[in-house]
Amino acid sequence: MERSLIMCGSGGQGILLGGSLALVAAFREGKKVTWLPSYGAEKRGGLSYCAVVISDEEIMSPVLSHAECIIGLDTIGFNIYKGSIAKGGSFIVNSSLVKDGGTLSGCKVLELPISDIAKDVGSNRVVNMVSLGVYAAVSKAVKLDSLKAGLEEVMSSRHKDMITMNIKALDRGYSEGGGK
Amino acid sequence: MKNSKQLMKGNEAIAEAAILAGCRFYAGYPITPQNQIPEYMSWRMPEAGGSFIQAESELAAINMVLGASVAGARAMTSSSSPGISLKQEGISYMAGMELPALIVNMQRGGPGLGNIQGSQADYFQSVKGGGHGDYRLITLSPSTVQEAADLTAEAFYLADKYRSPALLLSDGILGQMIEPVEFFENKFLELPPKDYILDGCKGRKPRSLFSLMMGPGVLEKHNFKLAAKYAKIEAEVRKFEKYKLEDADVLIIANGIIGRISKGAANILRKDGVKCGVFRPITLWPFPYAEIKAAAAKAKKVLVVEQNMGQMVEDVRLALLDDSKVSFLGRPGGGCPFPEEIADKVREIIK
Repeated sequence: MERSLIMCGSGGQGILLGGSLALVAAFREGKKVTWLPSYGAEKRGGLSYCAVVISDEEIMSPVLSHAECIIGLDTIGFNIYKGSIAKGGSFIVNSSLVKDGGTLSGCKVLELPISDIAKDVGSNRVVNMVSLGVYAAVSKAVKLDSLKAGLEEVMSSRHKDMITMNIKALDRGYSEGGGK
Repeated sequence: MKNSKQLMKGNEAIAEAAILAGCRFYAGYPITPQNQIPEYMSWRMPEAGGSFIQAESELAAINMVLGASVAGARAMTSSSSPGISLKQEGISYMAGMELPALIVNMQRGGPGLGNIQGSQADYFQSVKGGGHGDYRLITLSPSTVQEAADLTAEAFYLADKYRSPALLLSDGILGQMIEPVEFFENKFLELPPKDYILDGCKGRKPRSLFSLMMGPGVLEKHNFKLAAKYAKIEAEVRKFEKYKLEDADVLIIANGIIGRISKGAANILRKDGVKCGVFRPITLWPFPYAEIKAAAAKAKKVLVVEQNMGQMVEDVRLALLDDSKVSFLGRPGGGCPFPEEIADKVREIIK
């Protein structure tokens, strides 16, 4: 079975790192995986995007026209990719910044104030990790434990002191997403 | 680094595969979307005991590679489309001097500076003579990060075996994407000794390497010799993947990342009962003309898909000599078709 995730938002929200963590977590579970970033002259505040495919079979296309789950962390990403949700897919919307989650149709919409939750956990910087915790709970495409185990691998050595807060953020997102 | 799967960007996997294949000289000049190759080489090459040089220009880099090859080193350079255009003079000289080297082109949109998205617009440049003179360039097109690593090693081998530069022709998508990759021990046959290199002539007759051949008939003789070599390569080196061809009514022909995405399109179509298969050329030169002709014999329609406005399709037409069968889907300027878009085009042509 092929699982697909689009993570989008604005530069600085840790979109590419978040997508890499989903990739690493699924890879640790023995899955076939691809990760493809948007690649332009991105900068803080500009569009940031990555597509992750997780599968038991050979992955044909790393590029996605539609994803079964989209995490929209900011309006810039949400507006561009709101039409890319597969029928019956799950859209995780950061309602702290995206006010139009209610306009989505044909998919499950989970509106959560992810930026505010991240601040409550300790820092706006863990907004990506909160959303991934939600993703693990909603999609069951990766296990929460695999995400936590993958943190060491994706975080640069100068940010190792942030791992505890990131784990807290993953846990919090997981429970906000209904995971037990 | 060996014998375990790890996650790597395509660019990094190419660089690591080159090191493991024994490449000990790299020269390049930065350009997106291949910058992870020189970045990786800048620390990895010294670690392996080789030389990494960030040259002052693409022209300098390709000529440093030429020089390193003259001295007997396994040498490579990498760039992206506009930078590869600048290297063409050096590639032509190496073809003339019969020097092995690997050139990696992670294609981006063009013409001109274009953009930095993935592209296949350098097909003509690669296989029809990007530089001047009567030469051919071994050209390999990978579709996965694993294949990019494997073909990097193979390109070095073929370059040495046939004393010819070889090109790994990939694109910005494969360069930037992350996928699991496993590095294998060199599985190629032993190569003949490099009895042509210039490594000091103490105790032996001096050698020379050049591409200027002014004497009457000398260059013509050399060109005949090169042509015989190219004929030998054409007979011996042809790589391709056949995907679900056995019962295919409609055949998609595509290379590189688009070949892979086309396999996704074939699977979508097969779910709807459309018998679709994919032929993916891996060597673009030598081009698998005979194999494509055979593969298309039973198919009613053939669709060529490229990230350009129609380049490889000309070789497919040469292979089939039956234009009535051939349709084309092209996405130029960094555009990339989704599997669904390719499937829709197939549905349109079989209507």
